[in-house]
Order: sequence, then C-alpha cells, then structure tokens
Amino acid sequence: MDNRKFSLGLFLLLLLAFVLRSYGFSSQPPSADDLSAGLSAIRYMEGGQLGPTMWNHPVLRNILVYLSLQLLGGGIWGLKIVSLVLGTLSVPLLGAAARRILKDDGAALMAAFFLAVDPLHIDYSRQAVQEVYMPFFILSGILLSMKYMQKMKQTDRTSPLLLILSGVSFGLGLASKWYVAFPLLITCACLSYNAVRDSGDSSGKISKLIFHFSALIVLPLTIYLLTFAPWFARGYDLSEWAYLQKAMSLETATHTGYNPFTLELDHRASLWFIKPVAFADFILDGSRPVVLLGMSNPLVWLLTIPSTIFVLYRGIRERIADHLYLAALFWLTYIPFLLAHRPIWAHSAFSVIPFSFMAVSTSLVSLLKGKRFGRLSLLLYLISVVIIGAPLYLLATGKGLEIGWLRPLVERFRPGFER
Amino acid sequence: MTRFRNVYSAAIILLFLCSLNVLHREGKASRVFERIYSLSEANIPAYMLNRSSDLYSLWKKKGLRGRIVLHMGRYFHFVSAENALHFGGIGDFEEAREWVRRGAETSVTERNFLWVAVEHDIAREIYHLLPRSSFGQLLEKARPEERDDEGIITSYYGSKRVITDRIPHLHEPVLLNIDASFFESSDVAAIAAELKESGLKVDLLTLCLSEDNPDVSTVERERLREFSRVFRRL
Repeated sequence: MDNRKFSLGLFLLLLLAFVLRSYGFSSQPPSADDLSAGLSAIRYMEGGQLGPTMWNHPVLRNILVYLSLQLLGGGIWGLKIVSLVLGTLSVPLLGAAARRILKDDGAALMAAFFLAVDPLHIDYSRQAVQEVYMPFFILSGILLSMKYMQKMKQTDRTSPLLLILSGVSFGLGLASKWYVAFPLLITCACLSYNAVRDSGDSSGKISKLIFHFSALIVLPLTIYLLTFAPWFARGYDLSEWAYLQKAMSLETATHTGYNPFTLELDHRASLWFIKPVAFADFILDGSRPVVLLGMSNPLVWLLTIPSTIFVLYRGIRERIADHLYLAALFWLTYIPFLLAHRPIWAHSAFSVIPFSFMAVSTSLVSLLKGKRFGRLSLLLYLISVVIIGAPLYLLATGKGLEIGWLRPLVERFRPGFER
Repeated sequence: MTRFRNVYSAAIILLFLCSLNVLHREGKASRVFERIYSLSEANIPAYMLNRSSDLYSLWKKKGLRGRIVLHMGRYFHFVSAENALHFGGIGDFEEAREWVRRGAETSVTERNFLWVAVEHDIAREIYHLLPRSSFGQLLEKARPEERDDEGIITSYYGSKRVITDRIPHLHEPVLLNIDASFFESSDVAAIAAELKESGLKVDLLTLCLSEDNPDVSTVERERLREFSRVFRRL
C-alpha cells in the first residue's frame, strides 16, 4: 500500500474514532468520577493538594483537566475534552506505530480499526479520568523511538531530537500512570541492545547507550518530577516527595476501589482475554439513571492470547526482531498485572490492548493472506466485529437502559445491594 | 555525531539535577515561619486560647504556611466537613474554584480544625502526640505497614500524619499546640520538663483550653493552666 492510501486509511479511521467518541458527548451526564476529576484538578493546581480522586496515581490528569477547565469553563467539554482528544488521536497513532512494527499496512490499519471501535476505549474516551492517556503516550513514545531506531540503522547521523521527544512522551505517560514504565523500559532495552550490536567503535556505542539512558530514563523521570511542582509549592522538600511516592505505592498496592460495588465487577487481569470483561459507571441524570457499561469486544479481545503466542513463535522461529519486540511489549507489561494481589479492573487493560490489537491483526493477516477466501474471511470477520460492537457501543454510551432488548444485560450489573 | 549526542545527554542530566535542586529549594522557601525559639529557652511567648477555632484564626492571621504541626491532645480534630470535597455539579468554574479556596474554612470547629489547616496549606504534616493510654489502644489496631519507629504513620492524600506518644525529634521548627485534652494525667511537671529537654524548636506555642469541646473536663483545663505556670518557671 502506498503512503497516500495508508494516510487516507488512517484519516478515515481518525474520523470514525472521533464520531464514535463525540456523538452525544454533550448530553452524557457527568459521572461522580468526572466531577471528582474536576475537583481534584482545581485543588491540585490552585493549592498543590492531592485528591479526592485517585490521589495515589501521578498528577498529569490534574494539570491537563485544569487547563481545559480554564480554557473551556466548567462544563462537560472543559471536564472531558482531554480524554476525547487523546482517545481519538490514539487510533491513528496505533496505526502508525503498528505499521513500523508489523511492516504490513493492512494489519496496521486493522489494529487501528480495532481501537477505533473498541467499546471500552470509547467509554473511557468520554470520561474525565485518565485511562486513555496512557495508550496515547505509550504509542507516541514507541513510534518516535522506532523512527529514531530505523533512521539510526540507515545513517548514524540521525537527529537525537526524535528520541528526546519519545522520552518526553513516555514521561508524560509515566506522569499519568506508573505502568507506562514497562513499555518504556522494554523500548529502552531494545534500543540499547541494537546499539551494542551495531558496528562501530566502543566510544560510539557508549555514547549511544548513555544517550538512550538519558533520553528514555532520565528525561521521563524529570518530566514526572516536574509535574509535582504545585505539590512542592505547599512547602514540601525532596525527602517528603520520596515519602509521597511510598504512600502512593502503598495505596496503589492495597486499593480496593472507592465503592464496594466495584468488587462485583470483573477485577482480575487474568480474565481480560478469556471472557468479555466490563466496567460500569452509574449516574443519576436528574431522577433518570444512566449506566455507562464499557465491555470488551470478545471477537477481538479473546484472540489476544493465541495471537501474542503466535507472534512470539514467529519472532523466534523466523528471527523477526519486531515481532519479538511486540511480544515483549505485551507480555512484560501484562505479567505484572497478572501478579498483582489487589483488584485490577478492565480499564487497566489499556496498558496492553494496543499491543494486543497489533498481535491479533498481524496474526489474522499472516494466517489468511494468500489463502483461498482469505480476504473474504477477513472482511466477514471485520463485519462481525462491527455487528457485535454496535450494541456494545450503545451500552458504552449510556443508552442501555433506554433500549428494551439491552436492559436485561444492563440489569445484570445492578449492584447486589439493590437487587 | 557522538559529540552532539554527548551534549544532549549532558543537557538532560543537568536538567534533571537542576529540577531536583529547584523544586527542593523552592519547596522549602514556601514555608512561612515567625521568630524561632528553642523550647529550652526561658520566656517563650505562648498564646492561651479558649477555643480551637481561635487557634485556627491565629495561624491564619499570622500567615503561616507549609508547616509541621505538633498537636498534643487526645483527639485528632481531623473530621472532614460534610459534603466537603464535592464538585457540586457542572456549574460555574469560578464557583468551584472559590469553594476550593474557602469552602473548608467556612465551618472550622474543634472537630476539624487540623483538617482545615491541611486543606488550606497551613500544615503540610501533622504529628498527633497522644497521651500514652490513648496511643496504646490505637497501636494495637494499627496494621503492620502503618507502624514504624515514629509511631503510626498514615497519610491524608499524601500529607503525612504521625500518631505517637513520644515527643518527636524534628529539626524543623514546629507549630506546637498543647490541648487541654492531653492532660488526662496529672503529672504536669514531668510533661513540662520533657518538653523543655526535647530540643524542639517552635515559632508559635499555643495552649488551647478547648472550651468548644464538651469532652474536655474542667480538671484538664485547670491542668493546662498549671502547665503554663510550670513551663514558664522552668
């Protein structure tokens, strides 16, 4: 596929993602999380005070939501536009990153399509909380790093700015949630491995390694640290910042949700790719209840485990470095969630679904390419994804209780104390 | 190319070190102190206050900010106001900002004045020094990860709160408030001597009779007055 066609494909997916995420945006009432995010943003930026919501997570959301509240006022758009923009832009970013990793334009566009129509991602692109920030920053960090790496292979004179921008991106991701550290470290390790293996004198290699460390470890840490400037302004010093990180990690390690009902929802990472998982937010719009039910699309998510294993297998057998990189990104990010003792809800899967979608798309393309009825099969599969996704979209945008045949599904998520 | 990479690496590392330095320094510079005394000095000025709300008003009036508060008393005074921390709805952004700036201060009581002090940046850390009998009961209930050498460590959205039964060793001058409720025990002289020998530095020493706390007895208030007389003589 030539560049123009690919770019057109990405643009169309961007439009699709925007339409799906913004339709009815203004009329969707804010949830308790949305309002708490707004309050947390004001408290943080005007007084350096953390909380009330997600104080144990890094603070970039507070900064970005505050800026959008300043620009757009205290309405729905001011509260939630950051998620809408970053969620939408993640789609073409995934396509661009996938193109570099998979070296297959069709598979790359398919991966971006999966994200564009993913009901859980759509749900959270319409909320003020920061869940969709991380895929955006991870993907832009990876894309910039890969551009840098590929240019380095062609010529040793590539501009370091690409990697610096990657570090900035990863740093902003780290300042959204800590799990961005996993794909960051994997990317840094890959780059450094390539640097060591490349031809060249040892001083050049050492220079590269130091630069990779500076751009991808020191710089993200600097950005992470600087986002705490309003907090330092309350009179804190570095030793107290270290204490704060410890307190945050203790809360993160033991957090069981702000509402006992959330423990009735899927809260194990091991379930993400073996059954459809969901998260529900309950809102009262006047006296009318609205339920935002974000559920994974099983036709895509349930192919993840076999696809990532297939990608790993191909990477080892055929020595495809990019496949090994993709498999490492998925598994080395997913395994820590599997090992966590505390509840982990479905939206934390955004840490790995970009990689999951890449693995699924490339596996499908690899298996069906050149086969008889291969294209038709892929087309039928994609149509099925849309057909299954349509009612899930209605659930994710809070329409479930308004549509008779969807009500029983929403009712299954009614909190136990109400039944 | 190697030289340019090295320059970028050095610049990034320098930026990191500068960030550490600036944030640390500016953070400390944000703290507001008055004239500092060692508790071992004679004739330290002390304010005898009737009510907890008077104490909060005094801190506010003096413009104190970003401080460690050492509160000696039986109660925590850390109950958050009802419907506090609630963004009432999609409304005027300025209204929400004003609430964040002033909301907690509109209802300062003996139940919450330390919480208000944290909310409004007067206190960044609080040490609750409890009478020994009260502390013992709490220590039994604390989770293992909450305990350390200082006492029971907890946090309010990351702001450290330490619950202890011993005078802490702190290098930084503190806001010291001695509440009448601390004087369950009648050994006023021992408490005064222990404070004098503690090495603590203060810039504001307050003695609060807690007349707005119905659980503080007349005997405890009288012991606080006696403590004031003994402390001045030491």
